[in-house]
Amino acid sequence: MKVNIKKKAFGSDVIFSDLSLTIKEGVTSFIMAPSGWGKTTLLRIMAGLDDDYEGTVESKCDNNIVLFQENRLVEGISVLSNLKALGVKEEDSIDVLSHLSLYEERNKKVSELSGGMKRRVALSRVLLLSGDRYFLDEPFTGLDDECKREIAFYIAKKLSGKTVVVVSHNKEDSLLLRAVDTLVLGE
Amino acid sequence: MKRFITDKKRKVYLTLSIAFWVLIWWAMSVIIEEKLFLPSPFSVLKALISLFPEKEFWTSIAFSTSRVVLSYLVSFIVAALLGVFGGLSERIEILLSPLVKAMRSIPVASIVILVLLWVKSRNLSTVVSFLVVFPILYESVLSGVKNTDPLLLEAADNYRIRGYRRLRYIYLPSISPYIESGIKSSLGLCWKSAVAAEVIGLPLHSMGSKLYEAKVYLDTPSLFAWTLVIVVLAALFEKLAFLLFSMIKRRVMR
Repeated sequence: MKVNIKKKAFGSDVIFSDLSLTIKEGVTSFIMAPSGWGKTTLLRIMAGLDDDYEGTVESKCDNNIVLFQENRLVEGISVLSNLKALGVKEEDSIDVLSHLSLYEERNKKVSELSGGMKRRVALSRVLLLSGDRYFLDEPFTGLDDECKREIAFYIAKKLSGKTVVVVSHNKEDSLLLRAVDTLVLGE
Repeated sequence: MKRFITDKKRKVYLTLSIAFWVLIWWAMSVIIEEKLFLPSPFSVLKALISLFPEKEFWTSIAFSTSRVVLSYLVSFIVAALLGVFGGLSERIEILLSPLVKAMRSIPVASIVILVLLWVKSRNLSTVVSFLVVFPILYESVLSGVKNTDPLLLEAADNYRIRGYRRLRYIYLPSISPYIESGIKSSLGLCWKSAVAAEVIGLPLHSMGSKLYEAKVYLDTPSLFAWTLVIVVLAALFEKLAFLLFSMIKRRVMR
């Protein structure tokens, strides 16, 4: 996937100008940049969620699955119902939840969960869906180090062979997710 | 700092507050000293008790209640359907907007007189309370759909959550508080408008016609007794509607 952004601006505020990068297919690519650099904006452009820019993203595909920066869960319903909404089999949901240490919480309302648990529910949603490319925005927000390692191992296994683009400000995440390509931007 | 009252204390305060206003009512009736203008709570209670053995009392309650329940159910279903469609499609919302605004602002008395030309008096209250309740419930559902978090909708689009699953798991949790407030503000109005329609249409065996009879015979204690029955029924129905809604909500939104 070739990304060539001539200009991306919010009003008079120019975010990117003449930014080019290539994402390898079938592997995990890691994009690291400091906070406020525009990582989320770049990810949204690559995932086809933002068309308001000058430039091109070559070999776009429609089946992109995005882990958003915010969890975007339905707070008033249970963890399992948030996954049922995807139309996947319940046993698959239970399997992913178990791997993310959320089995005990499956019938709890999302509003009753901690920030880290909510992030894991958001991650399970992404892992349950079958897509051509996966875009993960700061996947480990709110997770402690031990939990992060276990989950990163599971994500790497589950999405092995897929095109995965991860944006984060934490270099360590690249190693945890076994990223083949690491692009450091904004330096 | 505001101090919170516990549920138990609240109930005690509420009972005391009702007792206080009944006392004021009694005091006023003693001062006025004229049953025709303001009967005492005791004479109203006496009138109410005298109504209990009458078959007509129960028939009237059954007649009016069945009309209210029917009109409320129909309003609810139609408002939910059109509210969802209106919330999803701006064109449908614009199409319905003049009709809903007109229904909201036309006085109940005008609606009653107009509807009396179209339907038989025994069906009048059903149609009138539908016309009064529908816009409130419709706007509640519409607001719920329109105020669904756009970030959640973007995620739902990305995860291809569509059709029934989108309605049940994305929209319904957002609509439900709006529906609750819609029920709160419309159920009482449903009773009020239904009884007002019956007072004008005078269908046989209805609570409205009994109110009218009490007025014609200057039987103010009976008028108060019937009013009390309507107030109690409206309060009971509100509780029942919330109970039913929370049961459905628990089942659907697990």
